[in-house]
Amino acid sequence: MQDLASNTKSLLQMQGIDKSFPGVHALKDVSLTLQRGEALALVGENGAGKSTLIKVLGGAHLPDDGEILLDGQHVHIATPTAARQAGISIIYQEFNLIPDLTVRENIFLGQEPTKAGFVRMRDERRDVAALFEKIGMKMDSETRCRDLTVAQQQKVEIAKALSVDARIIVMDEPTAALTIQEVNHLFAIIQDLQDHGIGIIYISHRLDEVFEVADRVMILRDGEHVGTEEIGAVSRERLIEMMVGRPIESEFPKRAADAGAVRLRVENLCRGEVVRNVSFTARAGEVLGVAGLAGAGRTETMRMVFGADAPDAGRIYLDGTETSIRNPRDAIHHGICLLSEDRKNQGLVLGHSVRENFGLPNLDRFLHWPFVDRGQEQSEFAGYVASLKIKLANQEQPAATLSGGNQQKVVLAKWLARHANIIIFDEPTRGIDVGAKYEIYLLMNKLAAEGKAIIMISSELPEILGMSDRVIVMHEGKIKGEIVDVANTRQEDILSMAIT
Amino acid sequence: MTRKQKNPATKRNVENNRMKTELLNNYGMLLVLVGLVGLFSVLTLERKVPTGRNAIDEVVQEVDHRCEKSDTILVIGAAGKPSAPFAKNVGDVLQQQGFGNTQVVVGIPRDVRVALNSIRDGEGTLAAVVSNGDVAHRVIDAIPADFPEFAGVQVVALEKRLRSVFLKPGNLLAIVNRIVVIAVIAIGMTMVIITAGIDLSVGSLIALSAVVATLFMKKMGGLDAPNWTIPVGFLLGTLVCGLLGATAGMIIAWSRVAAFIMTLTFMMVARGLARLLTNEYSIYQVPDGLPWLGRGHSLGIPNTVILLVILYTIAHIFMSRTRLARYIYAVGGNVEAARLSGVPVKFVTVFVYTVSGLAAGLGGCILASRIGSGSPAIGQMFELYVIAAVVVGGTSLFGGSGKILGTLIGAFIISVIQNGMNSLHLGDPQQLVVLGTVILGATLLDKFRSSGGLFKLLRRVGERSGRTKVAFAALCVIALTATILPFARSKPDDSLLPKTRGTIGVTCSNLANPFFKLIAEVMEDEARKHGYTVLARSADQDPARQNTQIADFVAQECDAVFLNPVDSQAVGQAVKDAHRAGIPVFTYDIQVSAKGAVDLIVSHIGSDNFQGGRLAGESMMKATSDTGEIALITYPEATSGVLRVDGFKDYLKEHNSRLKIVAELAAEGDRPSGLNVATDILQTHPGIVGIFAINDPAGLGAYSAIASEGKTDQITIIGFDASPAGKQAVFEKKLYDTPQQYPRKMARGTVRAFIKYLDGEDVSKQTFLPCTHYYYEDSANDESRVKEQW
Repeated sequence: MQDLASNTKSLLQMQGIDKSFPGVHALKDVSLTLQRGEALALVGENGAGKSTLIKVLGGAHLPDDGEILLDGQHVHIATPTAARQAGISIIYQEFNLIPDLTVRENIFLGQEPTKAGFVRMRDERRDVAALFEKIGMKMDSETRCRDLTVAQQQKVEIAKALSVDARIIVMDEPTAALTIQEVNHLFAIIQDLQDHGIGIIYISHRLDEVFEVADRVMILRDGEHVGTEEIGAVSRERLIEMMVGRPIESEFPKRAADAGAVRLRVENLCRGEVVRNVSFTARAGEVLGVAGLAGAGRTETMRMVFGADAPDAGRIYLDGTETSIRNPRDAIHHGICLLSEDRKNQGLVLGHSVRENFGLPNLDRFLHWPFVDRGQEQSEFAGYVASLKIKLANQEQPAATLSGGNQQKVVLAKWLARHANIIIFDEPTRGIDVGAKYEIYLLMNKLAAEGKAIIMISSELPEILGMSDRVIVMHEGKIKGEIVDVANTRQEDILSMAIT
Repeated sequence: MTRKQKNPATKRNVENNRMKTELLNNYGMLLVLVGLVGLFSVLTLERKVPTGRNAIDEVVQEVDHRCEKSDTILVIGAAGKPSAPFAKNVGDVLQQQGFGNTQVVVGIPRDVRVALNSIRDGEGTLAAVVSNGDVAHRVIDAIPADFPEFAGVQVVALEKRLRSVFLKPGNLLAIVNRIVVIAVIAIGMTMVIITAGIDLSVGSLIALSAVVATLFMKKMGGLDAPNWTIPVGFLLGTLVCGLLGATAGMIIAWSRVAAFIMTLTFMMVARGLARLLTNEYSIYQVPDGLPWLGRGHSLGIPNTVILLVILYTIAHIFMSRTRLARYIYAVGGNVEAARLSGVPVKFVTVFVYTVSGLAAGLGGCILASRIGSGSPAIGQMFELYVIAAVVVGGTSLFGGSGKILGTLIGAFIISVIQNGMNSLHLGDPQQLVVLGTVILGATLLDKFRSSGGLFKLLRRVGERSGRTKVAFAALCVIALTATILPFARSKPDDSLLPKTRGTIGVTCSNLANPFFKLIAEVMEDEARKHGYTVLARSADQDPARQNTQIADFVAQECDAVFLNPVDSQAVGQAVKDAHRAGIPVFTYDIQVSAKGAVDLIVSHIGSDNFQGGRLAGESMMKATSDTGEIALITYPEATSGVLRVDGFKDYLKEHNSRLKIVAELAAEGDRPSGLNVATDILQTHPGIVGIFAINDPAGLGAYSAIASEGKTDQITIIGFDASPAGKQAVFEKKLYDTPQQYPRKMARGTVRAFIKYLDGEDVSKQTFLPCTHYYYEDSANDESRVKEQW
């Protein structure tokens, strides 16, 4: 297959790429070919090596071995700048926006049109307007990026990538934070780029999108190239099988719901314009889905329940008693925990070892005054590593070196160890691969069956419908409605509630 | 092509590299420390005849072993050599121990013959000849031949020994003592920096703590205060600093003001408080037990060493095993993730700043104990050295990582560099260059460590483009040059002299002041004529720094210390130490006044500042026709400045002057502060007719203020010193008079006193050089003014 591709003068060829990190062999002899105007989807579980491969292409990592050819010419891409000069534009999963610069300034960062050292702002404004027009983006380009929602930031990233004359555009999970209309618009843009002969490498966990966008799909597993298929010649099940390495029966595991007493009751919670008079309940043994568009106030509501932000007004009842929760510490002591949507900034201390991350909220239990019993911590963590199938080199590995899915599992482990009664999942499967997703779903079901109240914020409607026993839909800071009969609800029903 | 073969080996290599990297990360700085110790040990190797207290004891013991109390013993010393005071000391000790027939001869070989003749003529016998091996061997060797009567004479002489000055136990202890305060404070600073904070207030807290502790002892009876007031005073000083640290921590935690600016304000406040509490003078009315903590021994081990071991053991166990320590790391690693994991972030923040305050407080107590008094001027710049120790020790300024023992290593690296370079007789400028380079290297190492280790860095450099390689190589070369340059410079100096007879340590309050710079230079020239090398050090107005410098001189076995005290009280302990080690101390310009230390000074030479002040008073009365309001610009930190003001007032009083002193404001003795103070005076007292400034720079600053108000005709300015700038100003009629001092005389006088002392002559205890007027008439034909000389 490689040899076949290399005969023609492809737009991009990566041959025999090999890359190791301390303790991890991230890429093993991986080759990739991309033609002009082609959209190549790159799929695989977390830790399969997709991000590493892209970082090699983008000059963020140097490969240990292998070579890169553009139009059949050998190129040496040692820095991100070199990549950009070679016409490779990458939209990374982590945003690279500078919060205190405006949208316009971020888009032009490093490529400002200047005259005698002064930035030609008029040119910038004109170009931004043209760019936004072309890609159908409606946004005030003078807003500071700090004030944007995650979805808006994502769009700025895309606009930034498109602002340079790229021949290859790599998108790493571009739709993770986008609404359905925005996703559709992005697809239109991608089609347009393809028509102009630009090659697209598209990384996504959402297989629906892969089937819609891609011409070919390349599958990675454990750093190895499993295969590349024409999109018309492969089924969804086959794709999942190739990614996971074994067949999977269903995306959402079934469970008999048995809702018990009200564990959590929230009354008239308010915070500025973001959360307005929100009231809801969560019962023991059920999964409560919280649906809505990005910016609907779902995360903000749950952060207040967890004590991370202070509400302007409202009451919280735990097991029927009104409880004051002033900070996360209080919440944790009352048996509430929250898995944040932003693992890297809020869930983990990336520079510290996974063991220390696991131990952080649990140290009171490991404390044999005055010392922390590290042995107990290690053995308990080892138990979770086994039961959650966390892939580790060792417990002292920095959390930053794990893949997204494994990071999420470490966060999960640290909260499971607290045996909390109310567990709030904020986008629990964002950026997580199919196999790990299924494991997390199973776990949520198991926790619910143990009599815990599970609250799940999700922007993925199939996930909401597949997992929830009951759904509340939020819109502009308010509860728009509640769906009890989830089995007979369609995605469109929730969407219409969430939009208007 | 090679990749297939590489694959199996890669994993092992990766594992191997990881281990190497971790070793380097954890112990890299230890290697640097060991390397430095090795380097300095070799560089300071020398053959030297022992002269210290130990050598005296050794010789006396040997004599005691071989001779009877009634025996005649001849102790020989060579004139002008270190063996001269050595011989005297040995003679004294032998007399004390009951060797009544001990004779001491210091002089040239001929004097020895004369002495031997007189013993023989007196029908005496000679049991032993004692020397330290530094005297004419031929005379001694020839005794059996020339004096057959003394054929059985025992020769007790010490051998020249090859040894490393750096590795002497005394010097190693000096390394510990130099760093103990910084190391103690660095414990708190490490914690603060691990939370991604910074504490700039520690230097000032040192002074505040020392002042509070000693002030308490003073209030409880001063010199006669019971010894329990010492620990209580220490506790009080430490607690006050802990309280300030806690306050800073609380403000940082709740208001989220940046730690940098918050602690910067506390740095100012604490220093101000320390100066207010003491009225700018150091407190020396303390019980005798004060030095126990910083200078005493327990079970034969120095207390500072014990303290360091205890504190670092506790801190290490705390930081590696407790929950709170985990929280500290977590807050620095990712404050938001920590908060959402239930870490009490505010409590952690308050805790680390409190510990930092307490550690600084304890550090202040140790320093007060070391110098035997409390001075508001100590601890300046300490915060930067503390931060440097922490960073060199591998703690990241970005927070989240760092090791307590690393900090200890970092502190020792700094101390070893300073001490080692002192041992090599390299000055402050070279030390700053080397120290800065080492800190730069450590910081870069830290940077690359966070991106995956030194090996990766080296590999990356190998892979990078030519330009990067050149840049890296250039950086390496610059670093190396900066390190080697000072060493290279030092050698020619030594080789110029056929053989130096020894070294003299000179420490003055501030070498940046041209007055002291000139004195140091003249001393150097004068000493060279007599075969001595001078090591000039600037205390930069910090009494603690001066104490350390004297301790270094002692550790390096200098032959004499020439001292210009920053603080006449605080320097007492150091003077006593020098005396105990058998090193004579000479003061110049300013006298020592500490209890028990005054009598130990061999000789003092200085200007008669009081008389000079009277001259200024005389001129002021003359210039103003003895009518109107006048102002004084003073400098209370310096004794000489105080004396000048006293003399000025004394003259006015004696002559029933009608001049009215309406303002008396303190300045720093330099132009900017003279300008500021004079500007303020002119605002409140626009009608004054004269200003007396205690030195020329302050007077010239005042002139600028007056000139900008257009009042040069109204106001007469009198300076002091007759510095080159002052002489020129008199010539330009900016200053009316500047009573002249004679720094050259002072410098030569000090060196000559030392030489006289070596020759065993009597040296006058104190000499005061009278000042003289310096008017326009004097300046007109003054060649030294034209040549810009003193």
